[in-house]
Amino acid sequence: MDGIYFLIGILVFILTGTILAAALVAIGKATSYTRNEPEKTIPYECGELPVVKTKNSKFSANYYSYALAFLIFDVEAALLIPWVMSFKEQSLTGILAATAFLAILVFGLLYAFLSGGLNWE
Amino acid sequence: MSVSEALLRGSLAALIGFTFVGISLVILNWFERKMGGRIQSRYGPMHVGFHGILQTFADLLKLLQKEYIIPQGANKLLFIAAPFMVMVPAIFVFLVIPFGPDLYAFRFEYSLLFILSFPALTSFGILAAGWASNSKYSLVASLRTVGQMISYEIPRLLSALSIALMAGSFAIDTIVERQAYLWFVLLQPIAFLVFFFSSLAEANRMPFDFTWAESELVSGFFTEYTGMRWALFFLGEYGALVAACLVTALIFFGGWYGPILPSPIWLIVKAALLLVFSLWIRWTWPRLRIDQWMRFSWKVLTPLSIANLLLTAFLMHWLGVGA
Repeated sequence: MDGIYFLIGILVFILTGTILAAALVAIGKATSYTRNEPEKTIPYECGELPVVKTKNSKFSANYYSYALAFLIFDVEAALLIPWVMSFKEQSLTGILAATAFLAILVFGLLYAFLSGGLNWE
Repeated sequence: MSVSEALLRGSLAALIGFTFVGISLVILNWFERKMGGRIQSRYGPMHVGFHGILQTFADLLKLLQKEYIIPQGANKLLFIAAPFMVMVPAIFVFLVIPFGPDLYAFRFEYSLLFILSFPALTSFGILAAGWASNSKYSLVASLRTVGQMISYEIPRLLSALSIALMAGSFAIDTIVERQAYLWFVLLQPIAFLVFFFSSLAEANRMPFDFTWAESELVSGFFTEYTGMRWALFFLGEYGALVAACLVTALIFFGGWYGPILPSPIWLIVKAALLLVFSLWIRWTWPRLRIDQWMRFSWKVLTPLSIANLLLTAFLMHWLGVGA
């Protein structure tokens, strides 16, 4: 039941926080004067006129392999949380099981390391 | 607890979070420049007020007069919403942070997990800001930020897990109560280093501020933002830093425990010392390259935190503590 109150608290927190932040922006708008000129609204590129639209521009994000590694390790961490919570009820077997589980992941990380998957080129 | 009390506590937590971060921003912004100046043999701000003490208020006056520009081709809805998406999650921790034995908005059994997971929502705001700005600098910076944030999430979580393992609980106040006689930083120095540096990286602080990197990317993902919208990003960034220091003080430095003075003051003093430490790092280390820094997370911090977690488990079993 307490969880529901906490959920209400989170929602109210988001609402109040947004209202306070919006009040700051509103004060800023009230005390300033904006003159709109077309040149002023061109995206900043050090004074040059933009050649390609940002949506159409292409660049290489080489670190997608980090994102893959992150997915695996995040799931691993989520599986370790119950292990941490029930640590008191476990014998040595539980720790050895967690060690084996982590060893497989470390082996995977080592493979990524040695095959150059963690280098950004 | 009733519904009305939950509503009151939630809104009060937001109000206190905002005020706390606002006041610390006013002090920190001045102190950081002054300290940075002294480290580099300069004076720092000197003109506005005694030794520049009113500098932050002068900056605020300047910000209030700034024009509000939405760049051409920007996604208006996302552009306007992005500052809120960064600011509000950055201060989420104030919902569960205990300032004393009975001084908290909500007591949550898994508050450590809440602190580790919910503030990470800022990366959505950063991604939205970068995409909606229609500027190449912003887009590159926001993609970098998200890459960095996901890289440092893992060592941060794993080092916090070893603390939860020692305390036998994920509730922050239980973790603090376990430190009444001995701080966890003395038992878990590796976890402390990994956690603190990952937290600084997640808060995008120098020298780990590849999201901002003004020598490379103009002003990072908020290049196109002006006035109070820009100030919200700034506030969010300082909020994340203050929150990171508060959490580190709670789970490694015994939180509110200390002689004579009341408990909230001890927590704030400890967090303030950690803040000074982070400013010190910022002004003495040069900025690394982003690929070096990402590699550091995966090749050093992640294996280190896994080894630390297993070592903690085995030691606790053999010494018969907790198990």
